[in-house]
Amino acid sequence: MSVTTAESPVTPHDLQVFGEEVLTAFLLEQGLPEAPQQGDDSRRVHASIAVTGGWSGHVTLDVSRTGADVLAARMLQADEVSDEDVVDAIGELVNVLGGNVKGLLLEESALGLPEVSTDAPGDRRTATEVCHAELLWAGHPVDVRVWLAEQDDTTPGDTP
Amino acid sequence: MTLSPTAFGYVADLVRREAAIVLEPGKEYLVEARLHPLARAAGVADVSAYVAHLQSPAGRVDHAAVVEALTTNETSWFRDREPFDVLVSHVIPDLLVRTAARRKITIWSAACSSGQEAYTIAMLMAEHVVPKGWQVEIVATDIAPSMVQRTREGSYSQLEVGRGLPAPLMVKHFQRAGTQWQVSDQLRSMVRVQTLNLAAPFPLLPVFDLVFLRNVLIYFDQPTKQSVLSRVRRVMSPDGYLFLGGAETTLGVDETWHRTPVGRLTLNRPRPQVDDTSPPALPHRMPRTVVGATPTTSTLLSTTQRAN
Amino acid sequence: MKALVIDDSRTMRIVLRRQLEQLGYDVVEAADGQQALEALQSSRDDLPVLATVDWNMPVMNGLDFVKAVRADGGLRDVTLMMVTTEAEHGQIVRALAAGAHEYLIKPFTADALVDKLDYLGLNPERSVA
Repeated sequence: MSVTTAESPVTPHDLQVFGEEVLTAFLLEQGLPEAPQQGDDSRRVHASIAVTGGWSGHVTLDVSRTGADVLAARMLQADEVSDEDVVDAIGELVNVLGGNVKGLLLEESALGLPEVSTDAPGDRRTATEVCHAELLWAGHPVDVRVWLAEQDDTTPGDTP
Repeated sequence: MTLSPTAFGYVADLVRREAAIVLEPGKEYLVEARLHPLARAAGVADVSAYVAHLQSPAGRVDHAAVVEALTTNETSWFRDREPFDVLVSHVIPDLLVRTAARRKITIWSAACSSGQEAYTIAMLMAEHVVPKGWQVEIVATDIAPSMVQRTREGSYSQLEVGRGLPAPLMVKHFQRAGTQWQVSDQLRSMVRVQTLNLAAPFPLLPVFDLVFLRNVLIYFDQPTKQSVLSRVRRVMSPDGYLFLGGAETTLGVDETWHRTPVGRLTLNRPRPQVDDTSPPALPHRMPRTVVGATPTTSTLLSTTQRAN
Repeated sequence: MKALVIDDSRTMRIVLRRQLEQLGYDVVEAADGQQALEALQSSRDDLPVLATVDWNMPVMNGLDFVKAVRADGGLRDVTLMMVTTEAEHGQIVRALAAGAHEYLIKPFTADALVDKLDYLGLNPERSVA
């Protein structure tokens, strides 16, 4: 369930702490109906944000479309949300988690801009998973992973 | 699924009693989210079952953990702002004059909770008093051992440092330690912590120049308020200052205190000044306060909050 | 009182707009630093008292925006509060050195925003005449 290696700058416990803070800050607003616990979980929303510099890698977030709808609705305090709303809200959530993870790094690194896909997860073949936690936000499991970019000089996009 | 009003009321009451923090209805989600891990650790089905457990004799040992889980983000730095403005503008200048011989100021943060008040005072002392060569000792006490421990550690989550800690002071006095922010050794060395029950006879304490007893009297009945105030008075320098919470007063409770309004705030002092016709060393910057036999009303109620 | 919310995330603009409007602010928005700078420069007779500034944005980031505002004397009365997920000690120091007045780390609670505005004397609910 949880994977850590010596190279990981972040522990599953750290991710749980950040997840708890995001939950408290953005997802607990009152006056919302109880989150629906069932739905079509085969559709997923994948979000990713890059960290580059002294430490290079990604932070990714993966949640069911049903869950993503609920999270977006809670952040926006809206009864209904559009695809655009969901993409933006989940992107902001991964941005916040990514920034928090970057805050733990000893090396100076920079945060990219979030990318969100409702089709397929991003290509992670050139990265190694170094940390994984499953958060529970408003009754929905949210899968958060930290990936270390492989230090491969031939891979375009990697920081030298 | 959702916490019943009775269960929520029980938890809110516990937190109010132990930490003087009010959880208003509507924070049920917060209670559920924070108690969920504790319920799981205790091996009970859900938060409602956990609250039932708390109400049983066997659940008493878990009260401290519940209070801590629910109060972590509810305490502010510079809480209410104005007392700390008055501390800097009026009280510190006066204390510097009065303590010029011994060059030491002793302060009590009573009911310190997780320590934000004590360290707020420490930051102001580090800025305005310590550089002048004064020694500062802040005694921080709380009835709850878990709160005393948290104050001693001086480690705060990101959400906690977000609560009113001005960024310039944050970068000056705090460093990141993993997911937490750690208060500096300089501030920690000024603060001594211990458990203390305000409602019982006090252990041996120093003589205080300054006492912060804020938002705690409101939870005591009238006779207890009187006895607490009278005990506090006995551990204070006659020239000292007592800060109470915004909804608290010595008026009508203990008439031995001398009350001086400053802005919207009332400063309580153990004894009237020797010559009541000459006002104490008070502000040039702020309108003159009325000091007389019955200083009950402030003429300064219209003073607006000053921008930074 | 007018506030300018600068963030490339529409979600975050909505969150901040809601919280600021609840306090009594009139809120205008910008999606990046360049847009925000142009908005300020074209409304000099009706400047916001407060701008909340995200750090990582396309076109012009928040740090460059802060520097640009500080370089323009006509905009000196706008209080700049970074609201960003950048959470390192060194980043906060950099933002303050560039001229930001306050710094709020995401995620933040509505209470935390109110605390910051109280401290700045910019909470419309408190500054009743």
